[in-house]
Amino acid sequence: MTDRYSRQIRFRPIGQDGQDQLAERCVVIIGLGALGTASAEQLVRAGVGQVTLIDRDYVEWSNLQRQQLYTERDARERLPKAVAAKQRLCEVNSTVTIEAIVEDVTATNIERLVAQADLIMDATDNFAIRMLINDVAAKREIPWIYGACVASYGMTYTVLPKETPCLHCLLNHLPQQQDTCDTRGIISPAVQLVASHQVTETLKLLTGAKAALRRTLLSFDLWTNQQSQIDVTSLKQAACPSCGDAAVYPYLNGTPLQFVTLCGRDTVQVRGEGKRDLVRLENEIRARGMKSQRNPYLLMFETEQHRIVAFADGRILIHGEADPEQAKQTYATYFK
Amino acid sequence: MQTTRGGEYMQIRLNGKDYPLAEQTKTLHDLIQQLNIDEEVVIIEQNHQIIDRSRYMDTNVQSGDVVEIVHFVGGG
Repeated sequence: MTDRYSRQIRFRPIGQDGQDQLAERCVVIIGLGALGTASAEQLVRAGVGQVTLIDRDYVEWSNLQRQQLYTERDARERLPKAVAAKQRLCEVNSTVTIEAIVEDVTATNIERLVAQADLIMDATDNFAIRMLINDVAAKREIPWIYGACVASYGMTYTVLPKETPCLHCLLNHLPQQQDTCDTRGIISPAVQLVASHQVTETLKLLTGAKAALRRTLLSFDLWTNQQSQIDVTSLKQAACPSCGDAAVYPYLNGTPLQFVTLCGRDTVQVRGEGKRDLVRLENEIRARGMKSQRNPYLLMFETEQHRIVAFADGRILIHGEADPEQAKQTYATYFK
Repeated sequence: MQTTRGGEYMQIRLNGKDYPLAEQTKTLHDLIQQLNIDEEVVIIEQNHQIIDRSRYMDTNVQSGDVVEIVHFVGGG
């Protein structure tokens, strides 16, 4: 126990004081793909006292190339990522508190999910959820760290409430997402470098070393050997709807869509109406003469055209479908 | 290939590396088109000054400019 953090304590900017502070802090990680698993492992090993893991998805084989906490067994069992990540992290460090939450983060639940957070770590995969994080972070005055990558390119930015420009200041509006890891691929080193920047900024913030913060928007391309940093201080907008003087938090106060096509995936997500009884659903599916596979968190079955995954929290993924209107019909067939 | 404009080699410093300017690259708008970057997710600093997104069309790129471009991506 006393030896565990000795090398980190010997690092002067942290020291015993910093280590004690880390033990008192809570980081909420939203998204447990490549970035989320990388930063979660570093934060748990570093001794951050409470780490909350939130993800809506389950482990698939295509994740194993870079999502470092997952094993073949997790993919075979289709474990929810938050659950699989927690299992592994508890083996790594049993002295910190790790909470796993299998939920879709929405405008409705995000304030509850980040209530304990000293910092929100962004490890998501789309702009819409980041704008939502940006709103809640501004409203509750919680620092958050943007991180994203695609191919060999990565970027990161630290948002400090009432201090730096927020994401909404920098982007003005919700952009269309063009490149995703599904369309352009991703190499693991790009992930690791973004996560390393994010975790380092986190360690600085949690140990009170604000003077050491990077204070730039940073990007790099590991394959073409380029790096760029921009001081964006001048872009802070006093009239920003998310962080300005008369903020209205437009993404936090928006209404979530019921049927959403997941970016870059041939999949529509349906947000359900509350928790779902998976055993009952399994019986209904079997009554139709179809096969299904169930674990405590989700039930999966296949139709002629679709693979459908129903989660206990009420959400449904319809794979093999990109059109929300078609998805509504499929949903009505099996869930009404 | 470096190109010339009026007999002068056209080259900028882009994200810390030398970058030859094509003949038709006159403005920041042209530059990000050439780089195939989506204009709405980009932040550009030219000679240590951030250029407003609405001005890319009429901001010229000159040989010797120091340009930093960061574009937002969504993946993770």
